[in-house]
Amino acid sequence: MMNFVQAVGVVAKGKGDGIVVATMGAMFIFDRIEGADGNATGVPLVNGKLGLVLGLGVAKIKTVLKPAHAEAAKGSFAGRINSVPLMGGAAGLALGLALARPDKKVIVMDGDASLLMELGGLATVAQQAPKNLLHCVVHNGTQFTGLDNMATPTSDFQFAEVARKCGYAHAERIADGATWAARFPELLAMQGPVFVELMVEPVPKQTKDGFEPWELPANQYTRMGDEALALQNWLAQDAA
Amino acid sequence: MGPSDHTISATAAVAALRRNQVDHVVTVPDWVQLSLHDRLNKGVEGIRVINACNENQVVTVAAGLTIGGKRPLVMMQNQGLYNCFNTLRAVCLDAHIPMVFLVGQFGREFSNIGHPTAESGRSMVRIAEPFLASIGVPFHILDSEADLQKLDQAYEQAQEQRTAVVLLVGAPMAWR
Repeated sequence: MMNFVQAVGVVAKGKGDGIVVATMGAMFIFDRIEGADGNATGVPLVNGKLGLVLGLGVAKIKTVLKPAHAEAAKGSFAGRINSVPLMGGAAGLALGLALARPDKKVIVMDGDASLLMELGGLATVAQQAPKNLLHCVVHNGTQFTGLDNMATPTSDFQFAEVARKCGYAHAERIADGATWAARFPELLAMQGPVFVELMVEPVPKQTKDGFEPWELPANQYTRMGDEALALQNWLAQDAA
Repeated sequence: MGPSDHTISATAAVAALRRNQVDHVVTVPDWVQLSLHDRLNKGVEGIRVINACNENQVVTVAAGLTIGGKRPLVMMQNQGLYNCFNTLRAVCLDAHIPMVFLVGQFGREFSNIGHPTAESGRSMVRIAEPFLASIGVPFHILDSEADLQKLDQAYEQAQEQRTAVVLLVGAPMAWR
């Protein structure tokens, strides 16, 4: 299995001028590894827990070295919107964007629990058949991964198989980070909708007896609106 | 007055959609608006119909279209509106993505048409207006064909206030 930094980092490095729609878990990783320069340049994508720590560590060092840039870039870059706090909404947002802008690639970084919540969305996407949509799901079997790692309702769900049967043009499962890095440009270039199920190790949990919850940052409740406006403006400029 | 005095024809509704440059209708179909669905499904130039599996997807797909520069209309019935409340909350109330909803008052007794929906014996009808008022979503009642001008107002209001605006369709649409 690949780690979360590998799963997200491949998209961050290879998205080009595509639109990215992410769920909460992927958003946290995107925020951290894109924080300094928007494209995760220099963040290593290495296997295992060590790779996870190394990737996040390098990202942290980058933001320390470029604090002004990191501060300005807090949250998402213009090409990304996060379905937060709205579990289950990523695929629908991405479908609308893909239909509105067939000239742009749209990449969804969905979560397994999120997709299970709106599984019918696979049929909705397949029926509309956007050629420019790459739908990725992070299959790590956990909710609140990296915090408490509560199990998803089903641990062995075959997302790629279901997407294929719903009518996606192509669907596959990838467990290895190197394979994912190699396949990403090929999958992105395919005529969609394309689905890829990424088998990802859960981020180690933090909670234990005595754990003190912290308040979530206020912008987590407002950022989707800011991102929508920024994305709308970015797309309008791009179309002009 | 009977239900026919309050009905809106599919032809007039399509004209209102075209007048407002609606380019996508995103929907889970509604019994009250069946004639409009039928007309749209037969093909109206410039309007693409997107059928979703549930109303949450309707709202998110419409949001993506709006961000991408399109002008969607959302169609569903009152039960669907209640179903997608959390998505409406996130997309339209918190993220301020403008959206216009055409919502049929499914279940309304014909005897209630022309009277306040507060007097309906059906909960899905009776609670629609107080529900929308309580969550701060502007709404308008479509009780006759002349009320279709409220669609124009709804798009202006949704854009200006960056919110959802709901138009409640009170009687079955006419098949003409």
